[in-house]
Amino acid sequence: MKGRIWASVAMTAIGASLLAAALFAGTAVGAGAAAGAKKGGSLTIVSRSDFDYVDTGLSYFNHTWNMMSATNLNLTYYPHTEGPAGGRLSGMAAPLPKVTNNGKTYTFTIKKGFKFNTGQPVTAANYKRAFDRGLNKEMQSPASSFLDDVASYTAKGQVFTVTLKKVAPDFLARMSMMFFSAVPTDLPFTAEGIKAPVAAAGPYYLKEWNEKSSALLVRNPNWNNNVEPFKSMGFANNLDQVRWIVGPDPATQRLMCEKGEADICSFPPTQAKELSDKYGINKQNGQFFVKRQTTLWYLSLNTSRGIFQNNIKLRQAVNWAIDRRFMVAQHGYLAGKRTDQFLPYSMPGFKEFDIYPLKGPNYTRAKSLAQGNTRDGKAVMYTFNTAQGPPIAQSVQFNLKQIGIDVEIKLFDRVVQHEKIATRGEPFDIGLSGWGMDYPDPANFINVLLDGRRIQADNNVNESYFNDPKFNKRMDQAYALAGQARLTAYGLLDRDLVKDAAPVAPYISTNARILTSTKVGCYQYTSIAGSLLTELCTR
Amino acid sequence: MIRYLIRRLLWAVVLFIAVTFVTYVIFFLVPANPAQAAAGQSATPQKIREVEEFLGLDKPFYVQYGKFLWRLVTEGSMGQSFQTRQSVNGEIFRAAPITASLVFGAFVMILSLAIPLGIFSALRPRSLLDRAAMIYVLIGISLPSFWIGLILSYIVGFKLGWTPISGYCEVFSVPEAASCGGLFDWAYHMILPCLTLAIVVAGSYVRFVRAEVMETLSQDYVRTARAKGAPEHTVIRTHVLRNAMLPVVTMVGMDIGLLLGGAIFIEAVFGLNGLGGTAIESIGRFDLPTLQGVVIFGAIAIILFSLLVDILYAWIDPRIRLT
Amino acid sequence: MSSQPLLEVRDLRTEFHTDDGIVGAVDGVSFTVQSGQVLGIVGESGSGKSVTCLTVMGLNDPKFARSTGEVLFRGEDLLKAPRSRLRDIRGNEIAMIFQDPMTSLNPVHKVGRQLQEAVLLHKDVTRKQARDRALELLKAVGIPRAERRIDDYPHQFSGGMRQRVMIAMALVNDPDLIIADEPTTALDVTTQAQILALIKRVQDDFGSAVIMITHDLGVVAETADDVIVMYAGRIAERAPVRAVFNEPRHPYTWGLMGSLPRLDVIVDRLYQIPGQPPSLLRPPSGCRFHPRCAYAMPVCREVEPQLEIAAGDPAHQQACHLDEQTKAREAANLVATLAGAPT
Repeated sequence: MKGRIWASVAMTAIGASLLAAALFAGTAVGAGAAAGAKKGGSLTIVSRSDFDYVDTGLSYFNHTWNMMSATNLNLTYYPHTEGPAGGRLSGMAAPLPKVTNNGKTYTFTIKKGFKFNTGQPVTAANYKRAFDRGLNKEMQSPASSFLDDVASYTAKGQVFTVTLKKVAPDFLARMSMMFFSAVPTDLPFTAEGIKAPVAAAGPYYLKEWNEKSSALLVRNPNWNNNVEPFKSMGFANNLDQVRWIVGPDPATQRLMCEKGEADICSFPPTQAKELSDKYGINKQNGQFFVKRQTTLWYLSLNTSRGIFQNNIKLRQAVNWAIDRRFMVAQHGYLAGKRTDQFLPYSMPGFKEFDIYPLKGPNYTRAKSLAQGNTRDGKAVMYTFNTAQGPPIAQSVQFNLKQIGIDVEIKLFDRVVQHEKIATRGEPFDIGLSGWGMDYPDPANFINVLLDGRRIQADNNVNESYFNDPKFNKRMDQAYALAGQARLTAYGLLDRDLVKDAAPVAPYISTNARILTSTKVGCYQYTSIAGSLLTELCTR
Repeated sequence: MIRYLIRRLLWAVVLFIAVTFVTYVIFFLVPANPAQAAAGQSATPQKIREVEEFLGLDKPFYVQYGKFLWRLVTEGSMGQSFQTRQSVNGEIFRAAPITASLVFGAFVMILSLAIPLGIFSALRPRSLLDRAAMIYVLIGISLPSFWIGLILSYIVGFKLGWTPISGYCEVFSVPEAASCGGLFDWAYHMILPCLTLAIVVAGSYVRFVRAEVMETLSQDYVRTARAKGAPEHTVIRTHVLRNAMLPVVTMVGMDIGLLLGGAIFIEAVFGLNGLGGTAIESIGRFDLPTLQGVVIFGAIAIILFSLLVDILYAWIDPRIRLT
Repeated sequence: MSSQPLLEVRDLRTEFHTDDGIVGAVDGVSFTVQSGQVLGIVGESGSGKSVTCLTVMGLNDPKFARSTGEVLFRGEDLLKAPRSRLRDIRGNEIAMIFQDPMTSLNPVHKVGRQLQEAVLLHKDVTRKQARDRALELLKAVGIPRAERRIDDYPHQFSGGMRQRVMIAMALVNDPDLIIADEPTTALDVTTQAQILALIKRVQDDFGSAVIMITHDLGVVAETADDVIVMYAGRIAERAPVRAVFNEPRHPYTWGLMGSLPRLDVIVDRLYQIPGQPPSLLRPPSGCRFHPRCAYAMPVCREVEPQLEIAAGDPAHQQACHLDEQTKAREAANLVATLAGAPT
């Protein structure tokens, strides 16, 4: 959106003055500490599925990371606030490090004072241990994928040094992932993962985890909000405890929140309209919230074969022909925002451009692009057989018919569809694809999903099998940049990919929709941390 | 008797192998890769291959099956979940008591409702009570269990607030994280789920008991009992019930065995993470070992209960002798 | 003999109200039984002989059966007695033995227990005493090794043994009247003889009266003092046993006797009563036997014959429109044929 940059500048200024005022007042900062936020109490989160692991070395689920955002002490983090500061990578256990050796060596100096709930102080060795576990063969940790470019790392006292094999400015963003939180130096290498109680250096720690049943966060007794280094973290830490109840389905969860048996719930998507009518949206002290996520759904146009190979004009025609408004509606009320760009709105580096129509198809333009390029006029679309899968496919089928392409729809179970599309050589032309970020850096979308050199025989994530050396080079170049230059480069790369190469047809940047009970106050959500547990309060 | 047991046990083994084998085959026919799910979305192909090796998925089907059987026989272990890497035995033993609470609790309700109702209906056929009972039976058999569950959960749990909406409470060793615990809470939370299952299942029992009692009432020995001057309640209690209940015992045994495999819908509606919920989740995540574990448990339950039923039957009916 | 009969049935009628209509199973039956006497009731299936006795015991299904008349047991009208009184009497003062011993005993309870139950229902004794009594009776009816067999289940006994058990169960409380409903029909001939002998002995030893229901005249000849022949819910002929066999006076009785196979007489063909017993839903008008009677006259179709004294003997009655001479002549012919003399 235009003017967004000015808005964020203004908000930063306001935020800064609030910060100053609060510092002066001597209490903890953060929106959660806004006037009169009640201290103490406990809230209950209800979830359909359980945490996958509580071991930072193994856990990958969104809601586990949400829990960990209140317990973990990382080298870097994104502040827990909905303002623009919440999207800005900041130092957590250590200030943002010195980068030397032509951008390949990062030297972190861990602040003194952080302690695990067990009493042990946090040193560089705790981060070394996290790396060790991430790379350990026995642990088979997903973290190893994110340490591929690490050449070496050392820990000495409070100093943690990492040297990369090549320049990777997204390294710091990666360090905010839960894999790389401080862990006790004697935390064992175990493929099954450790269990609760989990020693943690954040404001809370996981005291109990009863699998498939419940979990409990309590305060870390060694976290003192009133002094440094804790104070500048800006956490409110109002709640004494956070509980999880695992199991109920969304319909039941909704009833639980309305009855007060739980405090933060999901609900059946079909009830979104009713709930928004009843509670309003994002109201102060409200109960129904709709927040941006950094997740994209899009059509993958298979550039490696058939009708879309070497056929940029036809791919562009597809982007002109699809009815984004209708497609977004299939995800449900308030499920997301229409988009024609590959980076989601909340991804740092996103810049709004006007490329393809968001209000509906433009057949005139589409047809003129398609003319002479439809080849045999046949395309095969792989979609999944639940939720929005079928109607999206039918919509696409209808739209493309207007420009002279007959789409044959093939339905599969989601996992099977995903597997098939991920296999090189699979005879499909259009796939229904989605991607949620691992960490908030645009490379996590563009380089990971569109760099053709990463294509393998199977398990691909580049589902359009796009491989353009020109763009590959630009991706490399953008990747090597840091700071604002990086963000600008990726913003333009996003535009150019979608406009000039069109290997994909994005349509929705999703929202999270949350229902709370009347007991919940100070509710905030960021697409990085989820519901901000450190800012919640009771009413 | 011993020979009979041994024969039954041998059959159980055959059945067991058949069931696990078929589960394996079905699982392998589905073109999905659990390693991908376990490795995470950003994993490189190299990483995924490592995970495959780690999970043993790179070996051919018969090797995996062979290893599974071997481990089961020598260690009594059903392996580890692909998804959570926790022992499947542990998962089953955690989930089984929940499903057992549901099933046994429901059967207490079923039998206390269906048997008296069936008997009264048989004693007064075509009376108002009998007709009402038959209508109930029709409704109970026709309505889907999850619909009944949702309705009860909404009306009784939510609107009226008489019972909790969902959830399960531990009876012993209640953890701090739990929002409820102890015998009373456990029973209180189980009322609606058990009632739902009972409503669904009791219908066929009412009909069945009614038919059996009516049949027994027309037997000659009942007439003899009356001719001896026995009051009607003695006739019912001593002469009719024991004979009429024989087939009911069989049915109860089979049903309990079947339901212990997981009353999936009801567990889903009431958020009970029992075997049914575990089965659904493991199917969705292509977690073969856990799924296999549930299947095995279900098979064992059925086999065990049908054996128990046969023994019980022989104990009740002296005409049957197990040889 | 005491002046008051043990059992006096007066004009007993029992109807069953079914979906198809009203079935008049017993239509005006009267008889008396004196203490110690054996009364035989003979007839085909559907003649109403069983229903009569079930009505006496009050064992008909109250939902469908309606009875009128009087059933005076020692002067007390059982039809009007409350159910509790009937329960007191059943198995105690009046006992019944049923036809099929295979199904008349509860298969899941031990025999001893079922006998005990019969005692405990009516006598205030301990279980041990009841069991002793049961054992006593089992021995009395001739069950070998009764001490072991008392704990056996019914399926472990043969048919004849089971019937003995039934008899024991009927006797256990010293009943004044035993009603035996076709007690030997389900048994083979040899066992039949044994059971009949037992009943006779029991009757002698215990002094109870017996109503013996059967379709078999041979059985009646062995055991009864008096005989009632029933047809289609009514009494056709009533007489002391000798009179029935020497001077039968009803065509139906002749038919019954003629169809008896005899070992000592060779006949070309067994005599059969033509036709089927009538439907009691819509019974024939007039004399119910007339459709099958070789001697039927027009009056038989219109007027129901009443029981009248026959052969000058007040104890001998029959209900038939035929004149005395014809009856006497036919009876004599029949008896002679059966005795082996050429006709």
